[in-house]
Amino acid sequence: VGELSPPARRRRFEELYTGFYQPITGYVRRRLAADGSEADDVVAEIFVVAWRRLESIPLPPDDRLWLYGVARRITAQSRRTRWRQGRLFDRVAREPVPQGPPTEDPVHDRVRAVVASLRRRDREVLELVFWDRLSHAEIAALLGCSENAVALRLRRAKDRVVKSLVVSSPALPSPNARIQKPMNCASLEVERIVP
Amino acid sequence: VIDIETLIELSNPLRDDVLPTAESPEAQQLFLEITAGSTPWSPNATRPRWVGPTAGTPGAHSHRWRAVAALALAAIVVGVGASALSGVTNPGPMGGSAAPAPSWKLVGAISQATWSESPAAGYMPGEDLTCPTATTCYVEVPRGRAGPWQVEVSTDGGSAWHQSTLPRGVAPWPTTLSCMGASTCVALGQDAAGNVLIKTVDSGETWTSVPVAAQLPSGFQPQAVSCTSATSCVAIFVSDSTVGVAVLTTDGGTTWSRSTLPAPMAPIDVHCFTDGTCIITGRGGSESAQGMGLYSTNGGATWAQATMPTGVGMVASLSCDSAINCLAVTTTAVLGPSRNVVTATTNGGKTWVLTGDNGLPPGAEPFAVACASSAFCWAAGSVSPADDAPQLAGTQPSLLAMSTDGGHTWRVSQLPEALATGTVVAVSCPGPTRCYAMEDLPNNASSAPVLLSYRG
Repeated sequence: VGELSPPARRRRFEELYTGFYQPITGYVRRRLAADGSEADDVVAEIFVVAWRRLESIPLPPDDRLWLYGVARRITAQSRRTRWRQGRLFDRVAREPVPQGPPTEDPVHDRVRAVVASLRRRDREVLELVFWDRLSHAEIAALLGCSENAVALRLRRAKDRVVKSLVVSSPALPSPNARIQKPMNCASLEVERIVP
Repeated sequence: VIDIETLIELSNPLRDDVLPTAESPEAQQLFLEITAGSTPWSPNATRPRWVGPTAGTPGAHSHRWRAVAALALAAIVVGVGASALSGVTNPGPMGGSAAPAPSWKLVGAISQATWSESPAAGYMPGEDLTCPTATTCYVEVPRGRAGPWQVEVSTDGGSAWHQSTLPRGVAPWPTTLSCMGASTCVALGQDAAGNVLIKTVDSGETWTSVPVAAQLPSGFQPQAVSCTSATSCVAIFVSDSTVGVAVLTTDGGTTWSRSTLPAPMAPIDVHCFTDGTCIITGRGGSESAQGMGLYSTNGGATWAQATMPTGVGMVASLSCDSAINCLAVTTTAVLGPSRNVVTATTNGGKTWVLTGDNGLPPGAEPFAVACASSAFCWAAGSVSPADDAPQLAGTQPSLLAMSTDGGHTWRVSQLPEALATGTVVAVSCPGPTRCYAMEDLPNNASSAPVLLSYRG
């Protein structure tokens, strides 16, 4: 996108803002602690970046992925900053796993708990597919891995969810999904230790 | 019967129906804040307009923009070498009361290829910058996006870095690296069996690990380690419930013993001297936010509680000289709004005092300190914006300040212009004429810390 006139710039930003404010807010809130002000600040920063770099944002449909990329980075930086401050003021603090408000459906609560217990990288793919509704290709671009790796992680995550649900609640209806031995997405993938 | 994919979709904790839309008042206000100075958002007159203070007016963005600024964006200085930057200095936005401290120069991005990816995973690389000599530096970094933390070593003053090969299955724990010389360093880590001490005696070429066989209950995680020789070390661990323990070995890790702390404590840092003095800093146990210090005069076998300044929080970033003088960073509201300040001990950790902020600019927030001697200390961090100053992300001035009187007065350093904004996250001084620091630079694209060097 070349240089935009001020009115065109504003229109373009409004398109992005109205089109993506809600999904980006959802993306951020699902990944940060329940502290709404932190999530709001991160959302604000994402759109500040979009406003400042409007000319470099690709045209639709790639603009969505661009925004998710910024959202992912800034959300991560927010966590990182909190970790750094945590190291100074309380190194024993743990990264929270947001689970959202409790629902009236115990099955959904159980699924959320199982999802939250997944390994971080598996959980991320699962959430991006089912909650953020990104395609495998978009997720691959966002995470910097192949679509095949995304598919493998997703299958591993789903298998683990199914397995956990069946184990934790035999009374649940048997989900219509295959249960396989978990597969390694990448041999070098090692769960990160979080201080 | 419901399929698993639908079940996961329906379990989304934040479905669209509970999320604010772009038409919500908060979203519209944000839009107007971002586009302040332009025409109103929409011809739709029914939408509320921004009615707060106008952009540029103190207080206009008081809460949100301060928080945004605190996101500490980082960036790579890609393709910009020391030669392009080292000669360019600016007086900085702050400036102490005394003459500026000598300037620093950019060495370069550290292991750019791997570090550039790390912030995307949400972790702060390399806060453990440890330079035992003028040419040898060690850092802990996460390897790539998915890999575990790694140790990288430079033996040429930070120009070239190579990754150490750690024992198979061992993940070093961040911020536990401690060096006793150019070739000998230790760190804490974990393997499948539990906590381990890893050690190199050949400048990081090879590492060995020994289990910390102190019969710690599960859930205790490494915090810090300090060794006075290749065989004598004190390590501290903390549990999920913030119960801290100290363990020591005098035979290189073959046997470990636990020492009893005199009060519940969440320990953060430890430093031991060759005369048997050891110091632990941290905060009180459980939910206590009160800063706390311990000291030992028998190599960590027994501990006594230190006298701390009133009203300080967690004490961390402990740095000591070869005598028993130490500086650390704590937080306090005694000197004004709550912020990071420097605290010091000159008697082996028995008593600590706040050193004050003479010479530091308003809003200075040290994150780390390093002392080559009591007459040569550096504080690193950034300068927070004043309460009434709207500030966009990543525009906080970076901070490097030198003290020659044990931290009581400071001289703010000049930094090359390209480095004057950001956060200096680590500093290490192998001697009074040489220091290294690592800085996160603001940028909206990608990220990697850069190494700065000071030559007195």
